Amino acid sequence: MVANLPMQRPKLATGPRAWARKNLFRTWYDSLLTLIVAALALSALLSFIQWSVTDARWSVVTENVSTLMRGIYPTDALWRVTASVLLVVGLAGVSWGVWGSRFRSIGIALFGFAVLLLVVLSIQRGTAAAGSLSRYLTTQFLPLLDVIRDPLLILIALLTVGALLGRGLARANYVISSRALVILWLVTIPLVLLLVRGLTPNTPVLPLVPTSLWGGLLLTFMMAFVASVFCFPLGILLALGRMSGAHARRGEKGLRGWIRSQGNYPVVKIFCTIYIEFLRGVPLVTVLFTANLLVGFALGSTDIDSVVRAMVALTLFEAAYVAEIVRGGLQAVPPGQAEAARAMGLNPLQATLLITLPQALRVVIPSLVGQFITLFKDTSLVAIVGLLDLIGIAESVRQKAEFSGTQREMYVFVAAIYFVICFSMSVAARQLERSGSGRTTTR
Amino acid sequence: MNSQIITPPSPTPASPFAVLRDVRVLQVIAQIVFIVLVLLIITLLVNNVLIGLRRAGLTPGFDFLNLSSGFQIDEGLSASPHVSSDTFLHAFGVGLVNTLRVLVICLIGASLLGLFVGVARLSTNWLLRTLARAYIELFQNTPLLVQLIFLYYGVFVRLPIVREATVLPGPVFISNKGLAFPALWVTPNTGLWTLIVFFASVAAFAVYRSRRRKMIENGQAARPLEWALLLFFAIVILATFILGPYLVSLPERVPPERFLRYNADAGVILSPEFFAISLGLILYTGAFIAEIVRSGIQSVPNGQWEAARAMGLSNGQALRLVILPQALRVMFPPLTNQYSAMLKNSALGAYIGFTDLFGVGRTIQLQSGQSIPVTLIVMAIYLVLTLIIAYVMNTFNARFQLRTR
Amino acid sequence: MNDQQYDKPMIMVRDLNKWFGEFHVLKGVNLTVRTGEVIVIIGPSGSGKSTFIRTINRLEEHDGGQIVVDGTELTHDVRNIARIRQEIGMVFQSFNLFPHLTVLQNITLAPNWVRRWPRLKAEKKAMELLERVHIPEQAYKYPGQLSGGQQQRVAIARALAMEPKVMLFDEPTSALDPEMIKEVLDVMKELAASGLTMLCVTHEMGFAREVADRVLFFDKGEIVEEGTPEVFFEAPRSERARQFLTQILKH
Repeated sequence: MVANLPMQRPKLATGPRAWARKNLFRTWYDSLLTLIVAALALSALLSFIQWSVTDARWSVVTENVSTLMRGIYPTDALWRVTASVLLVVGLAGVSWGVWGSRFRSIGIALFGFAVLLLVVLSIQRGTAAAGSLSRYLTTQFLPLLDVIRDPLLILIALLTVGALLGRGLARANYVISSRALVILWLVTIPLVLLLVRGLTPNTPVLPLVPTSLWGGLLLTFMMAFVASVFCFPLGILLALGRMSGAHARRGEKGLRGWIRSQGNYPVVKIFCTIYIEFLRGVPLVTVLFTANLLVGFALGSTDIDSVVRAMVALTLFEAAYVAEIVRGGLQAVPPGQAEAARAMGLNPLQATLLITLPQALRVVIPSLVGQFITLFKDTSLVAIVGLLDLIGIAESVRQKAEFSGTQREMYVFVAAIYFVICFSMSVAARQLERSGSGRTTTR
Repeated sequence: MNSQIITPPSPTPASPFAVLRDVRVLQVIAQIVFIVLVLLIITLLVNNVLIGLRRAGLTPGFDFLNLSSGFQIDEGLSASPHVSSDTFLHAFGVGLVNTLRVLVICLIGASLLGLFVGVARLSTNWLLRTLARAYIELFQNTPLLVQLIFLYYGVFVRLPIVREATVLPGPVFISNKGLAFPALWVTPNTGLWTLIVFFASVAAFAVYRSRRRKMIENGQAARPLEWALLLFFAIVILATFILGPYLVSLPERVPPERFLRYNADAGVILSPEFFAISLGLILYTGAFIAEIVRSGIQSVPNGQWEAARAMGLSNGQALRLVILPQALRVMFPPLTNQYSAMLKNSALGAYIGFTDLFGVGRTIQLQSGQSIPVTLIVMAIYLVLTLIIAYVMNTFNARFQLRTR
Repeated sequence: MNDQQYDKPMIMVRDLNKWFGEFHVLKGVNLTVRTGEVIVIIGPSGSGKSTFIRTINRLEEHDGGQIVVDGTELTHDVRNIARIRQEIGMVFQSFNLFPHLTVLQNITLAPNWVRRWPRLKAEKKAMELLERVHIPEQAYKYPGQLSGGQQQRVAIARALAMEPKVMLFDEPTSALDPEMIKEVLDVMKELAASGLTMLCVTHEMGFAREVADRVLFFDKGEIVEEGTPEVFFEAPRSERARQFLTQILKH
């Protein structure tokens, strides 16, 4: 006979103490690990903060921000760059609203960051107190914050407004907003190029600003932009070429059998394969140097600007990687799709363009965004061929006598810029990955 | 069993153009057009290049390889790896050796780091998880070049000068000229000793196998691992004492004027350039490998964890014996990509002055003026190395595949 | 069988041979299909029946023999291939609907791009076809939002959009859940009753009995036996056919 104990639901452990117990102090060695790691991390963090606020000589950044951002782009044409940036960031914000997710958490993070910036700077006004620390702060660290505050706030504002707009549009009609957005992006790319570069030296509103005047972050962006515009179509063509072995005959032996097994267009396939494997097997720096050397000769003139040469190299190089990504996508499309298309009477070109390629691209969009991030980081290598991109200018600036010994400050700044940009893009890629697969199925 | 055979309609007389509508003919024509176009473009470009080169006074050729190089390399596997009287070909070899040195160290280092951080990323400890995530995000989203410049100029160059080098037990000296630590140099006895070690390991392995068989058959605890290790170390230690196979050479802290990169009697010195590129590559690639490890582990179905735990294995044992072997299968292709990327990224060492294959290539270009042949050689070597990596990884991959029906 | 349509053969296959490498998958197949005939092809897996109907619209290339569809011989000539494919509609086991297009767009794609119909004409025809397969309300949905039976019916509508003279069915119900097989078979029965020439590879014996004009039994790359459904199912002549029927009809 079992005594009837009063039934009580066991108390659920909630609250911060319970969370800490579960996540940080589960077992004794877990707790030890937590304490050691926390101590190390905190000390590292504190020493970094202490260094950046008191010891670091940020003047190397604050005095050179303009050059770092745009090189020697003429000041009276600067409005064009600003317009491009606002356009792109605004469009990115709307894209986030239409295609993205996790608005609340990211929105809160952005908002919190903006508030932090504003708060820190209002403190600055308040601490007019005496003391060498305060004086140092006002000459080194606070100007840095001043410099980054306004652009960051504007960008955050633009992003949030765009996102709200995008969300509204998506709620109204997703398909139309999505299509319109794609068209807008396709239009923006040549528009930005036009804005930044201009036409001829005599055009009234948009005079030519030759690539030799582009520099700094502007050059980094433009190189990534132009290279990706050209390397994606080239990569798709290469992937299609490499996949032209789709309708292979099986099981024949010998050389004839091998040629047959390469499919319908063995020459094209072999050529594309060689191109892809070659460019994927050599470092980008070698391609950059070769292009530097040869592009001028190959096109018959020695006057080709080194920026253009680097763009050519980047395009040809990244196209090979895009080709492999797209090829993976093409292989992921069920062969039945192409069969159905052929059975309906579509010719191979129509079948590829209308049926196979759209599905393949849809599958690999996150990888393609990842490749763009890699491309963006790879543009830093042009500094090795002497171009004045963000790193190139950073190097040339900090080597001046007045800024000797400021490598850390400069490169923390540069790293922060790259980090913010690449991290946002990778967050976007992750959101695309999650949402892209779900749009056309609800079952 | 046939249906009534009705004679087919007589084929329409083949017009001369009918052959142009033949699928096979069209494909061949398309390819011919393609080849012709490509060859045209290539010939045009190559021709332009040759004209330009001739105009600039450079005549490409590979004979320069036998000329003496006229420059010196202080970085390599021996005391003075390359002097100015050595040939260009020899310089290439030294550059290649340096690239391989970095590659081997970084392969091991980045894989270990990636493994550790990847597992930490899945830890139950929130702090560990978050720090792992922060490391991964930070190092994945900044260019390697930036990290490299920061490491070299911001850390290694700022180390104390030789005279005030930091001293660690060993003795190990850390200065802005590099890391100097004791070295083991070979002696005549080393060969014999190595042979003995080899036989010792064979014997230990045999002992391990036999003890294990005994354990499995009789069910007794025969401690195969302990006996094997005991035998191995007993033989090795005895041999070491009797033969004295290595000469220990200690580094010296010498004044800067007399400081050489390599002094055969004074330990081994690893240059700051080597450290910067190695550490940079390890940290950078480690972040990517960590993500690969994480997604590999997460790809193993949860049921495997449950089954392992139900058998009584601890978390660590489950990870080691059940999960990781399965995760490895998924991890191989992206790992191959990362290792290839590591090889290609090692070329960045040239930016900070490390004399790897690419850096040496640049110097040779400047010294000999033979830009194109040098570039071709450098590219070809990287290609071959990439192919070797892919081949080795694919062989491993094949052995790890599950055997299915 | 309709005597009025006995005039001209729609499909004529003579001595058809195909190899996959060393494997002889189709061994001298002969077949004549009259206009309006409904032919059901059955047989064990690996017998080559799917390969057979796929050679008719050139999804597989035949290595020997002749195929003539509606007077046009199927050769390497691209014009012949295109003409034949426009006259043949095909329904696949795995539906193969295009997931990135709506149901309506799936159906109007071929008429738009191959027959060059204007958009309105194609859409009107598409809606008619959707009515015919009893799912007009699904026009603006995506294939992923439909059930298997609905998807297959859309696939049938899509194949009919080109107004083909022949419809090929490659195991159309094999990938469906049992409760959805009936709706697809009903549509196919309606098509058969309307006089469409159909070649159907299937395991649905009930369908064969009800609708087929002829049943072909394929085994190891040959037509082992053929006849009207009554004759075939009640009194099969060959041993292999008998064996097959006992296995299939046991459950």
